[in-house]
Amino acid sequence: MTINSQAPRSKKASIRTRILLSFSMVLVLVVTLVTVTTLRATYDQVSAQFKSRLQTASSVFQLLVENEDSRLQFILSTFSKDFTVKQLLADASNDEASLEVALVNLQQRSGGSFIAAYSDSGKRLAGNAPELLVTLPERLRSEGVSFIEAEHEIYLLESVPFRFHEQSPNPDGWLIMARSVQELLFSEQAQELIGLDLTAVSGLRALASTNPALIEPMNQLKLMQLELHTIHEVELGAEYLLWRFQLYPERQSDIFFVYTVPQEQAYLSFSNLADEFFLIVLVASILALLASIYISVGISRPLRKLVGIAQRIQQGDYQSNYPDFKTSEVSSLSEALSLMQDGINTREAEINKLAYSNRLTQLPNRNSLMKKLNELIETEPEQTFAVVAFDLDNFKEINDTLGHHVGDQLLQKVAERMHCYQHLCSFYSHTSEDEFVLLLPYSASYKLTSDIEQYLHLFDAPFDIGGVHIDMNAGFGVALYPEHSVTAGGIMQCVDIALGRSKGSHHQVVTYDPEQNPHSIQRLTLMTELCQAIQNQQLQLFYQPKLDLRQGRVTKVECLVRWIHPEHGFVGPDEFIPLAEKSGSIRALTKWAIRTALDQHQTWLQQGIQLNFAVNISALDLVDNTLPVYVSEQLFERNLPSDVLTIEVTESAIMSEPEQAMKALKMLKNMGVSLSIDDFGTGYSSMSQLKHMPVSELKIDKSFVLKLATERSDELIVKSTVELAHNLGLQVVAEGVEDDASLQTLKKYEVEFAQGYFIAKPMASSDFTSWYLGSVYGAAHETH
Amino acid sequence: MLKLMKGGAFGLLLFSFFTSGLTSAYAGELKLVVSGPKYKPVEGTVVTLTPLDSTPIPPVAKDQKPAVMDQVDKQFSPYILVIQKGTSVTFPNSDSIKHHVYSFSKTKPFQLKLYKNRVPDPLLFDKAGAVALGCNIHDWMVGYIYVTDTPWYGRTNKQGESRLEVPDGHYRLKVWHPLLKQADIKREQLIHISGSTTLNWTLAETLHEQLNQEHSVEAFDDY
Repeated sequence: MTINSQAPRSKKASIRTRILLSFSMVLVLVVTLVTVTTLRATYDQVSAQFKSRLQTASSVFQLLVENEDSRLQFILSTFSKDFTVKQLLADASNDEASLEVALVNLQQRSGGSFIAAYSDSGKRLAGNAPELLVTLPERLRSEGVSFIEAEHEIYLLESVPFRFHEQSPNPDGWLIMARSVQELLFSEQAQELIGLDLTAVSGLRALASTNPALIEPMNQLKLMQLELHTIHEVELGAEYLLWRFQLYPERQSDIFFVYTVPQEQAYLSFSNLADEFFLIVLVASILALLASIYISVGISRPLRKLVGIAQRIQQGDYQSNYPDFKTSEVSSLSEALSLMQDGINTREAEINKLAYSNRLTQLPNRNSLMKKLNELIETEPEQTFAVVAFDLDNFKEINDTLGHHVGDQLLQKVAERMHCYQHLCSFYSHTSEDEFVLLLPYSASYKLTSDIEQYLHLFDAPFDIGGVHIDMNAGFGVALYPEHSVTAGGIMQCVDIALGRSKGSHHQVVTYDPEQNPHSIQRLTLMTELCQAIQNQQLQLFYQPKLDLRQGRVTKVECLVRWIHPEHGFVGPDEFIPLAEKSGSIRALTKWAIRTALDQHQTWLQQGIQLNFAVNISALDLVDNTLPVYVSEQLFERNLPSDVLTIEVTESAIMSEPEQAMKALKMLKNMGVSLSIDDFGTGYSSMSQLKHMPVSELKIDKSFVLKLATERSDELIVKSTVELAHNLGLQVVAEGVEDDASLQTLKKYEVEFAQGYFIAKPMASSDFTSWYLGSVYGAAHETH
Repeated sequence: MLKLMKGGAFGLLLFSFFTSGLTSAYAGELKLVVSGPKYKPVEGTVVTLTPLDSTPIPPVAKDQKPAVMDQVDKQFSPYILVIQKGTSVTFPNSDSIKHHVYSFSKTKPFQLKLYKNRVPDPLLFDKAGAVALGCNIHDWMVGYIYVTDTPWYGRTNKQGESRLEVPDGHYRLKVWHPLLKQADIKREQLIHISGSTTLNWTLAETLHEQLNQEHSVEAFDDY
């Protein structure tokens, strides 16, 4: 399975992103929580502190008021106990002025704002209290302090009873003295103590304040509606915090006090803190970002490097260097990959060795050679080189007789000797069992020749294999680049042909000669073309008559295949029959011949010509079990008796597979087809076999008949052969009759049939018909 | 000191008895019981019967010995002195220290400096009403002189009872105590006495608390 280097990276998040996201999320979460809780807590704390400050301030204020209250109370009560004062009070109705003077005197001495004395029923006796207090209201007729608003000012008012007799259960009257709140409380000392802006409010109107600027804005607000002892946020030109409280609420409800502080001042420390927090968050985020990037890069970059290396391995580059990594896990991975790469290298080297070298001799093998050839042609197309193949003579026999271990050692010794010639040839290979091939780049042909001759000397000395001296020789085939071919495959073919020729011709070194084998390449192509030829009607049957010498007329014909090639023209059977036999297409050819022959027989029958047809079959056909059945079918189809057909088969064909041939022949014989042995005398035959063959006829090869009239030896051979045949009960056909003298001689020896150019050459069916009808041997034969 | 007070109280009682004895010729008798709102008897209440009809009021004799309001142990003694108007009162000052007695009551405003060897002349009280006494030097000193306009007056005893023998007739009955609260101060009742008459007088409110109990002449419990 190939690894797709374009793996869907979009669907999987990279390490960097994941680390970054995780870091960020955690950081954001933590920081947010911390910030929120801390700021919340701080805010609450600041609020609480502020509240407590306010409460303290109002306590301070209360203390100041109480102080003043005590003072006034003391002053008045001391005053009331004075006898002279009692006298004045007792005499008030008569002498108001004296009392008034005494009162005013006291007031001024004490720093009060006004003073007054009242009877027990509240009727004023004397004093300079404002109109509002012309009579003393019920609520003020009790000992204690109150706040009162009179003439747009707020006063602290002390009420003290007086008694003429200190033990009187009921007071005889009341003394009051007031102090202006503005004067009293808004002194610098008080402000210092309290520290906040204080405003005194009566009902809806702010009347006195430590910060007069606030008075007007406060009058706009309905302060009375605000809850007491609570921090409120109000708008007084700017954002303010406000705290409302009362003193002695049971004595009156209209007058109250208000602390204010600008909001930003109140929460100054808090907002500073918040700002600092924000800064910290920012810095921390940036640091986290950098850290995460650093870490992730520390992982992802090495991984990417390793991925790159792995990809190079995939592409066949096993030489990558493995850089050092800082993270141990990545280091381990890197090491593992490195080892893997080494392993791959080793195995590949081994595979290469197996694929490209011969196991026995360790020389490059055919694969290697082909690769080298292709390489050479591609990289140096201008360089001329020779491919020299040599093949050990009779190597197979040595293997069979002396054993494979000897053969192997022999090959190894040959290889050893080849190593000595390294200076001549840089590339030499061991391509098949006993074949070696050299690649010899050359520049001058004379040099090449001498180099090759050097190699001949390789076989001069015998080979010593375990004490046995073996003389070896080899045949050499040479092909040249680019003369003979410009492709690796092509040049190897030329070498093979040259080598084959050296074997056949006993020349030790044969250089490929394109002219001498004009058809060698063609031959191979012809083989394939033959198959098509059979289908494409390029083949024809020619007929050569066989003359019955006793009757003096033609009763049989031999069918001969002729091929008219569209390009090459006439291709002789000598050429294509062996090819057909090699390629196996002979069987189709034979079957075609049989069909065509039988068809022709039918045609001639209709024309009144009745002849026996002889068809040649090959060894392959004999071995083919389907042939007899086929013949039978063909006869049956045409409704022909089996004796219209004769099968001609050569001695050699039979002898190649005697048992199988016998079987086939017997079958044919049983069907009623006559059988004839062709080319008798030229092949291998055993007499014992001959007597068992179910043939009826024997054909003497033309080589004996051609010079029958002139050669005495041939005459003798023919004569003996005829006698042998007749003794065995066989008829004889003599092939190759080319003159009348031979014909007469054959007649003398009572040969039954003659065939040859003298009588007629093989002809196409129409030509034959014409000849037959016109020939004295044919239709024009006069019967005696 | 308590013995002295009791003595003083007894003396008072005796006096009133004698007084009533002198006038035993009268036909009528009022038996008054004064009690607080919780029906507890109130001791020491001054009860006065002022005739409304033509019954002549015997005046105070010219040679009548003056009543005494002493200063004993830095306290007035008696706590309450009841006199008929026209009576004089002396202030002997039995203490060894100086006192400066005064009163701002409309009935008789006065002030007397009472030094050791200077005993002022008796003061004539010729208006009816209550006179509250105080000492300028000693704030805790408190006493009362109740000036009646009738010789027929008495004080309630421990049981809150007071028996007055008077001629039959129509009278204005008034009950007074220094510690009366506002609701009871101006209360009076018109009564016809014929023979023995009994009356229960219930105060509307409890008395004020005695202010300076340490130096009080008579201790008054909670009523």
